Amino acid sequence: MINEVNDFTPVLGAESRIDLIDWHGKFAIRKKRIPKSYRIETLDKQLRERRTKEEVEILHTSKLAGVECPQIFFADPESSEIIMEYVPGILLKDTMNDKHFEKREVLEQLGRYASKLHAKGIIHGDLTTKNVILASDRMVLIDFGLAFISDRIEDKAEDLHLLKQVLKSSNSMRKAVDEFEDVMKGYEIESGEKITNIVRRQISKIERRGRYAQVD
Amino acid sequence: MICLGIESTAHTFGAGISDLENSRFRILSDTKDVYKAPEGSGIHPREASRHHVETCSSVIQDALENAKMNVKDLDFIAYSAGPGLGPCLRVGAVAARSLASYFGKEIVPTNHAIGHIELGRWLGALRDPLVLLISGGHTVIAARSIEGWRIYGETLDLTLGQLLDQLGRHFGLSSPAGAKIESLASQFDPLKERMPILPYTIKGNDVSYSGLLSASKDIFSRGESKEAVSFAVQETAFAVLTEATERALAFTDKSELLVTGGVAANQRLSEMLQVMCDDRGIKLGVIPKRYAGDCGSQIAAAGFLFYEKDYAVPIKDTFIRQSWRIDQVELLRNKKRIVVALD
Repeated sequence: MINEVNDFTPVLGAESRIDLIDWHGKFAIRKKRIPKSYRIETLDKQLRERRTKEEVEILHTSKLAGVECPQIFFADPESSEIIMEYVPGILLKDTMNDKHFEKREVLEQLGRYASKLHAKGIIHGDLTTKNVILASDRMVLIDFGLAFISDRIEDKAEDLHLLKQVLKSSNSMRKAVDEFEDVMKGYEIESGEKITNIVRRQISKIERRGRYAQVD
Repeated sequence: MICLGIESTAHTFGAGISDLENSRFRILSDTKDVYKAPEGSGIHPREASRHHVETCSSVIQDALENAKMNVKDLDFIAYSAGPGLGPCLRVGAVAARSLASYFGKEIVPTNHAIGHIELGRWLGALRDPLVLLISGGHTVIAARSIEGWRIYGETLDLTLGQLLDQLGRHFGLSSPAGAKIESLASQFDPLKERMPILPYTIKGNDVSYSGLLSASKDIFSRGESKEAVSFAVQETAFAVLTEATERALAFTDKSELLVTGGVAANQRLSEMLQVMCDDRGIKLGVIPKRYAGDCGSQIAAAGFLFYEKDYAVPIKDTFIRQSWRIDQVELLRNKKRIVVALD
């Protein structure tokens, strides 16, 4: 455990600061949404409070839906802080360029997670490879900071479309398409062919809507 | 190496002569003539292209005179092949083809958006930045990879330029309206009055502005002042974009940010991005105001890149492409591509 902790460096994320803290004798993660001085104060405070509250509620529902995510210990919207379980492991992002690492199963599992969330009306909102921790015994989905509740096909498709874009931006096009196919396979295992096809069609609609996309 | 760049994607007809020698980029001349839409309306492609036809020869002539040059002194001619408005693109392409065939110069079709990026990179002295390209046609967060440009985030509907122009049109202003919206916003004092709250939509690294536009039109028709609406739109739209950019910076681990394109001229947006970059220790480069909007120099700057990557083509293979995303441009070295003429 001590070694794992030595490996941890505080992360200054885009919206929050992540620290490893001692929580009543246990290691825990403290996620604090930092005030953004570029935003006008009223807007900034409102956003941080709302996002903290929503994140906690959604993490709880996600766990109930059978998706591995950090356990919440404590939350305070006023100071926009969440204290949660520390999950040691490596980020999926850091394994993406590792040729020897077999990603198929992991990507399929990620698809299953996405499907389970969507079935409960949860849109993760930031489904990227840096938000997946590969722990020794399980795969954990983190950072629900942009998650929201919606049953719209459009939002579900957009959730997956973001992941596809991320795969594309860290890979060659062809490899990204294969990898995304693995994700969709996992999605289909949970959601079934019918729903998955609807989502697939919506994803290609979104792609065609992209600015200056070739219309064919 | 000397290049004449011809720009004609939308409202601007521009010509610029630039020199690239030993990795040193110099602008020798840059002239333009901008089509002005009537008050309260946007750019009509036919009217804009008519404007381009009428002004193209004098704009190119001035560019040559200002650089104290003759067409014979040029090494090659680059033109913006897309993305943009078809009728407008054709004028620039015809001008470039005529010069190239008459004077026997090589001709290089280039991507307009990459022009904004390349010019910004040279003028900002940045090596490998994350790029925020914001204009009437683009709102894109991109970075260079070996194969070409990769998009890390973009607008899912309206561009930032469109948002400001369409709000402007709603106020009865002519496009581009960014500068007028900015001055309206500066007359609002958030300490004296309450800022109206508008939808704040960010999805991962992507942004969405269509809901923001409808809501702002809505509060305007319910009696909010132009100043208050302009202020709220700027604060919200720019904060969304700054947040998306910050996320992309965190994701890509880049240490430089380049802001380029017409909307880069907005002071409030630069200010927000500067605050964010200072907090993260990022070097920020904003394209100088004079070169933020569409101009010939950007096409010359892109021209050097495309020329190096073998994009020079025989006249019969020159093309325009109204839809041409930057992530569709292949920039692998020494790779002869087959250019398919779509028009």
